Amino acid sequence: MKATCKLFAREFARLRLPAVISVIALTLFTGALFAVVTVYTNLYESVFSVVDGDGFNGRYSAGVSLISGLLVSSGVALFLTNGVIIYSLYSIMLDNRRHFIGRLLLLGYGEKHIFGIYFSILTVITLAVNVGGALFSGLIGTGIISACSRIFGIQADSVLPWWAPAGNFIITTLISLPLYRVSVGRIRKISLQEVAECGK
Amino acid sequence: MIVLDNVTKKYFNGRREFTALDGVSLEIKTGEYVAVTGRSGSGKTTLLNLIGALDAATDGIVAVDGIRLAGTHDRQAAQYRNAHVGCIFQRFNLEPEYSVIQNIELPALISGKKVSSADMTRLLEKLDIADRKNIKAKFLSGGEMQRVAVARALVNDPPIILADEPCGNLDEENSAREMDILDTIHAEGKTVILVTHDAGDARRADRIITLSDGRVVKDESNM
Ligand SMILES: Nc1ncnc2c1ncn2[C@@H]1O[C@H](COP(=O)(O)OP(=O)(O)OP(=O)(O)O)[C@@H](O)[C@H]1O
Ligand SMILES: [Mg+2]
Repeated sequence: MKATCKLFAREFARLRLPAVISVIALTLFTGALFAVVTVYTNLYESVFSVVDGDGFNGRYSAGVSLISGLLVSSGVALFLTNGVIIYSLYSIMLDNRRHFIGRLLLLGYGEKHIFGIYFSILTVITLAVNVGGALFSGLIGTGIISACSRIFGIQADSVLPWWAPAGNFIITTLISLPLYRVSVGRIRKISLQEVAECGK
Repeated sequence: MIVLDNVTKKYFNGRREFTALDGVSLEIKTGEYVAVTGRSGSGKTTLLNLIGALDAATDGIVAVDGIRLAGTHDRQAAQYRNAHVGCIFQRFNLEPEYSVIQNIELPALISGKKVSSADMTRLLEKLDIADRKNIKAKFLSGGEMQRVAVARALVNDPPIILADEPCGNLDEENSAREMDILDTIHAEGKTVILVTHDAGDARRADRIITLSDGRVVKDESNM
């Protein structure tokens, strides 16, 4: 148990910097993305309601179709960025640590324990990136929206709609799952013989 | 005592099958110093890996002090690797980001033992690395790395030391030093199995086993 805690702490400390950078990058990206989506939606809605001339119905249906359309496209964008970020984090961790993991196995650390450490690190990274991305995108998105509405005079809600961070979280978590599985598979494939032979 | 009874090791690459060890039977007594030689590809590393539970035999029995080594994945195999054997590799296999002490402590950390500072000091001094103890392994010279690896192999006081061409990456001076260290370890009562290409190094052992194409072709006493 003590060994596990100590190794977990040491391993996690190594990842601090890339993890923080990734969360910040993801945050900025998703925040901006959702802000743009929302501003655009509001803009479109107000334009549409002007053209339509009669308020609620037209505005409502246009808003719904826009939101669903944008959700899909922002989902694709998120899929790409979040996928890249999470995958690169996983690889930073796993490629550099393959031999470390192998070495621990060579020295008699139980497979279950070492896999446990890395699965928990993977889980912590995944949750941190996803939750962090969702929360901060909400905050930053809101900031950008209110700035935009001041600058351009667009009449917009002053806060990001609740579905933006929630959607972010759901989408990014869904993206993470297959990557998580791939990473787990990669750890499992480490061969003691190979590690013993190639040293570094 | 290490017993191999009709051990075969096959590697499978897709559909191709390669026999690295072919019906090897051996007995190595506790406290014996054995050198294993043979051409490249003759199966020396494979033999050592089986004894160290880094790999499992395809057929036959490998047993060490009454423990039968069947798999490499279970807890028993891990415990065996941790407490029963100390491995020294040609390429050291240290953790480059860890300090000398952290590297040496690793097997003890895994088994949950505390290395007293007196024991650690003794080990560091014995291997002449006391003044490097807080340096990261990646900054050490090859000779120093190998001595750290030896210290790590000894820290849990295992009865068996396996060394696979430990001098393969060392210059002459450091090789001689490494061989002296192995002599000392043997003199302290441990079973030592050394894989080597160097006939001179092999002659320091009590017994020389020669492999060829996965078979034992010579097994001679050297007392
Ligand atoms: N994972 C593997 N898959 C396929 N073949 C393998 C594998 N590992 C080893 N072999 C083959 O088994 C044979 C014996 O290998 P081994 O590493 O035991 O040789 P060795 O005597 O240690 O050689 P060297 O002196 O070069 O280290 C070699 O022909 C090698 O190519
Ligand atoms: Mg070899």
